Amino acid sequence: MTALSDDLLRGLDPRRDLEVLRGALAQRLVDGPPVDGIYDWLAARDPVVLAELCVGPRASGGAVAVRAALRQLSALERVLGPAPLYRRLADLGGEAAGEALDAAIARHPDAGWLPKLSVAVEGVEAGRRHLSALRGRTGYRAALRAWVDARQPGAVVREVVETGDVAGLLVLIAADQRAATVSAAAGLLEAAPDAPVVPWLAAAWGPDLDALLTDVVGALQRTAALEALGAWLGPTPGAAAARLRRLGRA
Amino acid sequence: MGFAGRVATGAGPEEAWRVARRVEATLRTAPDGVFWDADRHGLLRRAWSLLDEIRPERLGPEAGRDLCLLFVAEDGGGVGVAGVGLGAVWGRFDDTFRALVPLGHPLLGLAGRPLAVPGVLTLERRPQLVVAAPAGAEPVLPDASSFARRCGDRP
Repeated sequence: MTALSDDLLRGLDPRRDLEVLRGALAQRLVDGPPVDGIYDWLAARDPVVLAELCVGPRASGGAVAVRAALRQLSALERVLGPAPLYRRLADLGGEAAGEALDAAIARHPDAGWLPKLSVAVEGVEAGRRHLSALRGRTGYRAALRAWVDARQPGAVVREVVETGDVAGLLVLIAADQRAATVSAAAGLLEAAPDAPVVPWLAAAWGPDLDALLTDVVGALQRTAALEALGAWLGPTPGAAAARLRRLGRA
Repeated sequence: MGFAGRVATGAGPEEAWRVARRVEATLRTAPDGVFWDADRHGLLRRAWSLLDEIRPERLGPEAGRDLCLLFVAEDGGGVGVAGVGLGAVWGRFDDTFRALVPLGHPLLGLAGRPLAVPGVLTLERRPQLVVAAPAGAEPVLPDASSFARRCGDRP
């Protein structure tokens, strides 16, 4: 089959000749020249038709098609809400689903629907791309909070442990996520036994730390972390006793 | 004797932690040094004396000028309340809080280590709890929903 040229396609009426366009572009996505020129023309002429071709019910799926669509996001967002747009792009994208998520994060870093999209794309790794993209930026803490609000505190725990940044720990405490706070604190101590986790816990949690730190002691696996924690447990006798039991010294 | 307070407000969590532990460890020894005046007044005098022995530079970046402390000491004769850097003090009686002193009372005053041993407010009836707002904070008791958390009491 001979691919129709860009000039020939631009002579069509996008709505009347939608199926001709669809067939020609589907062929190009498989083995033809790039579709970007025609997509650019459609973005200017009739973005609704562009959206129909890129993400409509009969849109071509696959990484090549979605990558081409991702280069037309400004036009697509003019005719579609971002939440369903990016969800559809991720569903169609195959191996490019992560790129659709990255584009959503770049264009809508504080959108409330991002966690849901991330869960769909990243599964158990949900939150990784979003939070890593925002590290060091002003929206980072709000993004951490969004993951707590989305009932995915595990994403924040992982972020705390991997970065060593206590910002997530403070967010978990502010949101009353006790179990996740324990996991994050234990993870921090496992990764860096000498890290000043306890002062940060005291600053955010408050002075009544004994029960919380007792749970942290229970969550620690590494002896090095248990040993180092001893320096911080003077004012928390329950946690200090639990630590000694864990170390077999009580 | 029980005590609570706010120290090293301008410091980061690590330094504030160290200062708080230093003050706490010092004050916990107060009963150890009381022999001939082991009543509530003796305990409080001993606590102030111990506090005075901490070098200013070991009380944080403000050298103790930001110190707020609340002491509650009890013996068979009653309850004594003393402090420094307090903006308001309440006691809970029969599950209801009421201000222990009016604004302007000598128990209330500026933050920082006192130049002389502060006076003691004597309560004839033992409160279930005593709480205070530090000087500079709005002297309003937190509402019931956030009260425990504001006092650092979390389940």
